[in-house]
Amino acid sequence: MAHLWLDVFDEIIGACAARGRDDLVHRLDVRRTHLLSPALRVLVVGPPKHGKSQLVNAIVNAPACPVGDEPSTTVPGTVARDGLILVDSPPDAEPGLDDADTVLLVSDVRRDISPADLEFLARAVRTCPNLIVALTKIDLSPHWRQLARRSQQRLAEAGLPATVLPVSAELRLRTASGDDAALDEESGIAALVARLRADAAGKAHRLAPYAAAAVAASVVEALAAPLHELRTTYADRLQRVQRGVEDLRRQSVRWQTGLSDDIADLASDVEYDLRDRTRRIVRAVDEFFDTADPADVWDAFTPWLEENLRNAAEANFAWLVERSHWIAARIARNFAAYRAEALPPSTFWMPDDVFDTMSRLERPAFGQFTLPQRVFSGLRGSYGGLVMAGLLTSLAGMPLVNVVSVGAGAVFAGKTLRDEGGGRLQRRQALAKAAVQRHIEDFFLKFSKECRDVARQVHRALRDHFTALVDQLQDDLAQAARVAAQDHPDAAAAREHEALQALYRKVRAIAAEPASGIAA
Amino acid sequence: MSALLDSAWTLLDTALRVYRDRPRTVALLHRYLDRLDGPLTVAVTGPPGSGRGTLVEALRHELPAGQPVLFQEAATEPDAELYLTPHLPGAVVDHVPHATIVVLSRADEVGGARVDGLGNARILARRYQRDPVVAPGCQAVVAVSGLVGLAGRTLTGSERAALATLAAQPRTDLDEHLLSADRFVAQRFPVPVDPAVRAALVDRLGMAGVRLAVTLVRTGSTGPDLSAQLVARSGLTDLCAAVEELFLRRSDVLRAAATLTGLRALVAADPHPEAVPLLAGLERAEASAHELRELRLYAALRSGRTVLPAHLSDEALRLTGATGTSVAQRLGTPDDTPRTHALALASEAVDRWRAEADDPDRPYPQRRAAQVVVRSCEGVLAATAGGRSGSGP
Repeated sequence: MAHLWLDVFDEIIGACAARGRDDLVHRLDVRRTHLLSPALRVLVVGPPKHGKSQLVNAIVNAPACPVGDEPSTTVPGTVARDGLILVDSPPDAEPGLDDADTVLLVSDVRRDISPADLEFLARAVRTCPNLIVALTKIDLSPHWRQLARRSQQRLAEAGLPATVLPVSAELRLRTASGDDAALDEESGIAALVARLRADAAGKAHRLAPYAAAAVAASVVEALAAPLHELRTTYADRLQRVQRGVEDLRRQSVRWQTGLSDDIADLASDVEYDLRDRTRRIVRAVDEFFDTADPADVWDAFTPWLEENLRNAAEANFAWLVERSHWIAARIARNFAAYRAEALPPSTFWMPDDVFDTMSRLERPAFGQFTLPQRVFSGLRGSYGGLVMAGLLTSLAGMPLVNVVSVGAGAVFAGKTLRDEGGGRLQRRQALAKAAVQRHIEDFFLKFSKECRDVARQVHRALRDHFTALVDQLQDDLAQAARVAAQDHPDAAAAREHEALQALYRKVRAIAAEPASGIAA
Repeated sequence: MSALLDSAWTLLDTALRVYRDRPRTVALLHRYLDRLDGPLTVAVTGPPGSGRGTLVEALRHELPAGQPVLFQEAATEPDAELYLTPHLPGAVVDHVPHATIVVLSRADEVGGARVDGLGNARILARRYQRDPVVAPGCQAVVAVSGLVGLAGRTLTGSERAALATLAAQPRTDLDEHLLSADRFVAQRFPVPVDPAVRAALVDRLGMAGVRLAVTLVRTGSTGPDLSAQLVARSGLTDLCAAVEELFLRRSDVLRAAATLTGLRALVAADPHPEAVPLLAGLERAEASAHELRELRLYAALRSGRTVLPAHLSDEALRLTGATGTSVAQRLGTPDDTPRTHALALASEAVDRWRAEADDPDRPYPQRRAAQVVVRSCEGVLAATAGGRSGSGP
């Protein structure tokens, strides 16, 4: 049993060397030497001005530590004597628990053990189960017994298996000059030294295995650290790929609905725009024909109308194209994370034959105001005037047909002709307006159908394009997942893990055995 | 009166006017006013177990009654500070500037509570006081055992009787029973003094105090002499002297300085559009606080950190107000000296000390000290020329 820990230690040193961890090898080597040596390494800790250095002096019976009225011990001094190695720790630095067989806390008996010191002891007991608390300066107070009991209680409450020994270094140092056995006894130092010697004697089979196990465990953990690192990165990568696949799936559902909505909006917007443009043309035409005479201007008018319609159609179609591009770009942006250039090539153009299929504007039948028609109208109109004027003048004794009545008849004839002409004009204008409206309506119907067809083509083209893209992306991700899975920490890593586990179990076995020998 | 104190009053008045629309701030300002009028507040600080309570108690017994001073263990914004520490720190930081005394407490336990422990502690403290690293942080370092000092001052009749009985025993018989507290209160004891009485003696004086007291009685100190000796050796006398010279004598300056610091913090925490001239006034007051420099010089000379040639040292102390701040006191003349004579003395002092300050052969700390003296002299000259004879610069 005394050598079980040594075997495990050597095995671990070999494992460290094999992995190139020279730092751990050195650490274990030093500890190994110290554990094999029969001398007991005692780490002496405690707050300043509580008599730490004086106690060390008293234990070794020679003023090796500088005891001053000023705080000293800035360099950790090591004093060796009679199989005891006392390491006096400096006040500021963290004492080295790694290399201690025993921890000796030095505290003034009249003061409570500080929470910081209790915490330190709690940490220390994990690697070094042998704790001794020396309560100093018992020569200065007659009440030290109650005070020591109180400190003992506090340690027990904190669950610390520490032995409490009351001492007075001052008394011991006085006996160094004289030969006073009673004083020596009262100083309590002898009891402390006896305890330390007993610990030294039991080191090999009681303290060493436990301490060895503690150091060995922490070294094995250090060895296993890179392995853990590897496993976590693998797990992370796998998770990332899986998340990517999930995201892509969600995206697919989203963009298809988005596309349908967008196309529907597009169709209705384009139709409204065309309607708007044609209505404006109609209004212009109405205004024009409120004054102009269609019979005269028709030939000049027709090209104007055709040109305006063509412009309206082109503008409308251009807008359709622009909107389609925008929709495509928006969908492509959803996939920007996966692929930068996801836009399909643009295949939209306005079919040239759109206008060819439309009917030409027919000249409406305006009719003519021929000469015989005029004469007839004039005569008709003049009749009333002639008769009215003739009747009036007959009262003056003139015949029915006279200069006045003929003159009146001529005036009336003229007015009638004019009215008739005006009415005919209005009729012509109305005819013209109606004809134009019909034509424009025809145009609107035909062109808007063309646009709807184009919109449907756009929808189909985009849908096919992006579906193909998604399929491709999914294939890529599946491939990436396969590759990531292949990177699984391979058999070698698994074996390494197994080996370290086995070592760790052996270490635990060392610690488990000396069940009763740890706390005195 | 002190010029700094005048500034403090004026600035407080200004502040009250500026902050008249904020009742909470006004209340705080009134507190400052009260404090400025009141006793000197001295904070007694230190880690637990450093003996603060005992020291405060001892000081109360030791200082002459009626002194306008208040020792507090938990004081916010104190005017001065006694910093207790069981061992001497590397550097002194975060304490009241120009008004901190470091007290090496529990001096009786230095070096194992031996009889000569207190003496050793005093030597240590004196050495430490001269250390230039410590210089900016404190005005003086004193080793004190509050326990011994308090007990010495308040020794009862029965205690004296017990000590006398103990001292009557020859040393050779008694010494081994004084080696530890257990031995001293043991049932079996060569001297007919009750164990309870002996236990009480240890609680009151500590083992070092008991040993010291017995030795003193044996060498002839009795009655009030014993008390005086105990108090003196405990370092309490030294501490009282330091408190008197460094804190109480210039109490007005310290109170004013603390008030200005507090006022500055208040203005910073509670900005006000009209506060700009107030801040300017505060900065002016703090920059020109020559009295604080005089205090620092006094502390440096007293502690031995700065050393002036013997023939100059006393005069420097006098001119910077160590023995009194009136013109006559600074010049060292009787109060009724005619003005012309005072003027002559003052201008001659200015010239002489200016020469000292400019002397390239003098080491730098001495020249700096001389500069402070020059400034004080100029103040005296101005005060004399201005016709005021009773107040300092």
